[in-house]
Amino acid sequence: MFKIKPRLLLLLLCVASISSTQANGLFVDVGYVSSDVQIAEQKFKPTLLQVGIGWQFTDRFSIELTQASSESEDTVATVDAEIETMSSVMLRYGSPVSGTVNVYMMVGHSDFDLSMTGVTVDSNENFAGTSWGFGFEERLSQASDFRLHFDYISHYKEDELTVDSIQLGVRYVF
Amino acid sequence: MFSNNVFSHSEFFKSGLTKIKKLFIFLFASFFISLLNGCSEGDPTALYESLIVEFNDVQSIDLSVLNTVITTGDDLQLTVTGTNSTGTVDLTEYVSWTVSDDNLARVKSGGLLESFSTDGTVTVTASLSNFSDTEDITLSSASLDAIAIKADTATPDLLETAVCRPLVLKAFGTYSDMTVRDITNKVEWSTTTPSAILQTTPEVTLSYYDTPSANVFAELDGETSSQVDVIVNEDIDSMILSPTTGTLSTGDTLTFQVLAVYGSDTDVDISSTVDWDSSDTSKAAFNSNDEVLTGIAQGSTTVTATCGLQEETAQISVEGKTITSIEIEDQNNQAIELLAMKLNEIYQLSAYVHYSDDSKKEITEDATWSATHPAVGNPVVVTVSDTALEKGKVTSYAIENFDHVTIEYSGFNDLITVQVSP
Repeated sequence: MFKIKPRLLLLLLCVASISSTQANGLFVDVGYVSSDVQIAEQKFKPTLLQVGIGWQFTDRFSIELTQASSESEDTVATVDAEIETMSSVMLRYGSPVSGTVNVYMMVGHSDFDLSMTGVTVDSNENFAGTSWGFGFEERLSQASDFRLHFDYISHYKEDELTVDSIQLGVRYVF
Repeated sequence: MFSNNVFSHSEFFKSGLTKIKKLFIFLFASFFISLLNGCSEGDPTALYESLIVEFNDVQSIDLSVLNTVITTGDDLQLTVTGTNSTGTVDLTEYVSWTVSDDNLARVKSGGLLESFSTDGTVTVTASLSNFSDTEDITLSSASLDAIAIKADTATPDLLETAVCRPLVLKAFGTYSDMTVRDITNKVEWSTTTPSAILQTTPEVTLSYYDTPSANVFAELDGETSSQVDVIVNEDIDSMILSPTTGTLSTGDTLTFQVLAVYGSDTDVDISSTVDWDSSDTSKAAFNSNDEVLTGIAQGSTTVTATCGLQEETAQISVEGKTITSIEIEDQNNQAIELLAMKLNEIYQLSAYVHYSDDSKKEITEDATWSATHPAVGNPVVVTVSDTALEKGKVTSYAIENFDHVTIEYSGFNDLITVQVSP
């Protein structure tokens, strides 16, 4: 599994903060996460509620830190699956397609606690991995600081376990 | 008053944002480093295997092999079967494999053991969550001394069967190390009995339509078994063919089945061993004497399944595509009902037939063309040629009223109106 070197990321963050020509500023985010957990030829769909905080360095480049907690578990056969918590940090690079709509790609890292309970299974493990995704956001109006966004993120991918999600949320840019 | 203040509101705000930005970067970096370094990672394999056990209600697993002694360099398929409350389940693709000596052999996912060229014994372990089973496999370079053919029945030395009834066969090799190994899937099987049916998949079977016997032999690594005669000493009591009637379209297939009765044994499937025949192969035919009939052209045929003196028949109809309509088309290949022409003009029409399978074919030269004049007593407005190579050519002569151009083909017809203007 690919790992980003911490020093390299720190350097990127510093360069981004110094070189930003238009520091758009702080933003916060709330959203709903519908996840897709595939393991042992079964698919579970637990959901989470998420909050985030980020910094818009330029019109195209931003970074966001998110924290999500379980909203519901999912049951397949005799097994209940729940993502109890999920933390992510994502670098985002976007491009405007109109005056109010941006599309973007993301890369980063996710860390989550997966709980699975059944007749013989009782597991609560932490998994972490490189994440990537894409999405779009739309300002509610030209002058609005609120932005509706819709994202797809691949959080974790191994032969035995994959975790993806689609996310719908609202950002407020200060 | 405020403008004289060294720290005006705007400068204070900018200063605050810069501090917030620096603090934010620090928090992000710290959080990210902690993500990478501070978290223990779960084992997806262990979770996966425990879920397989849960979903299949596995209560035990059993590792089985065809032979516990194999020739060095040969492969061996390992099979893992799980037992649950309702029966058994194949778990071969889900288990983890380990070998006691990876210089002797390795096991690929899917349970295929690949042995190397060294003699020895290796212990193979299949594991699934808390369950495991082992098997010792001996790799031997001993040579093959003899091949024996046996029946896969309760009396393997009794090679007997009934007319058209497949007998499942096995081949066993005796090696110079005194081991006997199942080599059914490694030998090459042959028969010299004409019309005997020898099949090797999914299992090896020999069947014959007549008495008294059919022979078979097997060969491997230059060693050939003695020719064995499979005695055919029981006649077929009766057989049931299904279906006995049916309809299929051209290009479609229909699969038949024959179940035979041999004494107290009923429902013995002999579909692959009977002779199949279609009375009219221009309408439907069997491919390579298997039990699948293919429709060729509209009509009917009688299907016969024969085994020795027994035969059963079925009546089968084949539906071809039918004509649904014919149409006159203009020079843009559009179906029309009205053609507007100028005086003294020549215009080429075409005709098409439409079939039930939504296909169409041009029939301009095959249709019969004619012009009719509904205005009695008026001059001819148009004529249409029905002469070969000129069919469908419309010539205008007058502008009074209108004429019709019609076509006729296979009992179908179409009509358009032609109006001529100056």
